[in-house]
Amino acid sequence: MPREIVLSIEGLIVRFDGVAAVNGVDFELQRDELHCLIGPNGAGKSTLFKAITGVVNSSAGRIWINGHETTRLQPHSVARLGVGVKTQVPSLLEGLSVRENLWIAARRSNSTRRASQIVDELMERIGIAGDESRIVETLAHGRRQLVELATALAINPSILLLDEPAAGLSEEEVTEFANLLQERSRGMAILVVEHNMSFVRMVAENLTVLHKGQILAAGEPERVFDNERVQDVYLGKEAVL
Amino acid sequence: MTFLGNRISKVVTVPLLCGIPILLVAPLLVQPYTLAQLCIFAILALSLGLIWGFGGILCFGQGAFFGLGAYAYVVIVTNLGLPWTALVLAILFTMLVSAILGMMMFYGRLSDVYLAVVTLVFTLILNRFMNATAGPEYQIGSARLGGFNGIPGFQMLDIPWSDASFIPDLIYYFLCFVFLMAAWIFCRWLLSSHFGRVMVAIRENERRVEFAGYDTRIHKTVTFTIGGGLAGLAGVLYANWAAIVTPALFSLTQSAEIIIWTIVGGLGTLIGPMVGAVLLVSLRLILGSQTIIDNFFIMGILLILVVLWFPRGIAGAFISNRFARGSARRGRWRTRSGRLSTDKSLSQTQDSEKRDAA
Repeated sequence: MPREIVLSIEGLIVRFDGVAAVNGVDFELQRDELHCLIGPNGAGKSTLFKAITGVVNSSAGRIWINGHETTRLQPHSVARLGVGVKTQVPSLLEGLSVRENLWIAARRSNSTRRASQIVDELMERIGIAGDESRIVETLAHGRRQLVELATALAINPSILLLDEPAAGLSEEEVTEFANLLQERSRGMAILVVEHNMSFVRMVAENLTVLHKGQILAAGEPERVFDNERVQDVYLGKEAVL
Repeated sequence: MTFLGNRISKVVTVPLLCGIPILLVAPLLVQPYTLAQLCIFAILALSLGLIWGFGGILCFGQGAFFGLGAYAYVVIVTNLGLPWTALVLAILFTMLVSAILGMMMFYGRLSDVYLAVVTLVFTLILNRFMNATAGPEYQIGSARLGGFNGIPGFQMLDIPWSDASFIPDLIYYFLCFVFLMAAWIFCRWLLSSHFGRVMVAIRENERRVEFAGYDTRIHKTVTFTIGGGLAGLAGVLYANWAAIVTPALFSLTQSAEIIIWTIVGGLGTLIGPMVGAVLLVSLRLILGSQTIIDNFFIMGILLILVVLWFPRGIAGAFISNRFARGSARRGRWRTRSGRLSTDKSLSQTQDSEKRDAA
């Protein structure tokens, strides 16, 4: 039985000064799916990510999230439709504590008491309870990645968008992060833009390869990795697949 | 109710503990007329301290809202003849103007630099316009704007249900002080609220706040409007203190002074801008009695020295506040209380840091 589609992209084009960073992308993300988006530098992954979150306006095409068209919506409106975002470089409230970062996110659609409960639960679940009162800018990169993940989860998203969550993490931290994603809540769809192939292998249920703003291959990870064109343009002939 | 009671006591206690002794002792040392002026400028500085220090909105046009409040009061009171009603309407008018300007800037997604330029230009336009209103055609109802000479001789705030047509200096000082305390308490209350926390969060990282689902444009517009309203209140009180309004209220000097008060006092604190305003205006008044050296030259030197030696301002050097800018960003004085706070004494900070270390 096919799963419900929570994110749908149709013929998306994003141009910057005439250059198409994303060039006619069609994409679907299903409920409960963990989908990875890979591609070489300049493939348009981050631009696609920004277009979905409303940070960048598309030049053509349409985006639907949970049945609502979001093509021209502002980032806050996209977030209100249940989209949690973790950016490439951790984007946090640097001068505030870990708890405050999470509280601000949780409080928007919850009462003060409920927001505090959500924050407590999340800090425990993500493993950052010990850093509760630490100011975010004093945290190491790996902890900041986790705090940002918790912040994205604090709005109780139905879609979680993660841009290079494994960047700058040690092997242990990558494994820890992968485990966290696999223990996700039921019903949540996750789209991960990632360079780290070992991380992608650990978590991906489905994989899409983007190249020069277009989809080169999509499907189950093993089949995509076996695709000769993918090996040529991205992974390289010597890649151990 | 306990939560609400705690919150009210936290918001009110410090202003009352600081305020009541000053209210009573200050008139014994300084003339009430001067004290009223200091209170008015402290409100003006507080308005910028709130929107810049906590909202992250650097407004070069706070002088414009100050002048608008003053002019609006005079025009309304001249036409209506009801001073207290004019006070309220003038503040509302200033808030309306700042809301419109704020919406244009924030919904237009202006960056910080352009925002500062727009507010600066807004002030200059008002200054030039008011200077050019000398002709009889520049009349609103029965109020002539008067151009460079401004508008003298209007109905002042009075004591309701009494025959007095104006408020004596000492009472007026008390009145200005009460307004200052009310403004301070209001700002503390605002910062302890959900809205205030979002305001600070926007200052820290607007995009992250958007990703949490907040429309930062409306939050920033409301913050800017509140700042405009406080500056308008200061303007109304100034008009009643000076008994004349002139285009000098819109001058660049006035706007620059507010920024200097805020920096010297301590950005990111509420008490800092007030302290900065009181100290620097007092210094200006003292220096004003000599003719050897220009006032603004000394003020400029002072600003440079404070920025070099106390990057977090005078109050910032004594108050641990995670929202204070400057070296606070490097965490030297930062506590880890895990709560959003407004003002905190140095002793509390040290206690807190000792606890953390333990």
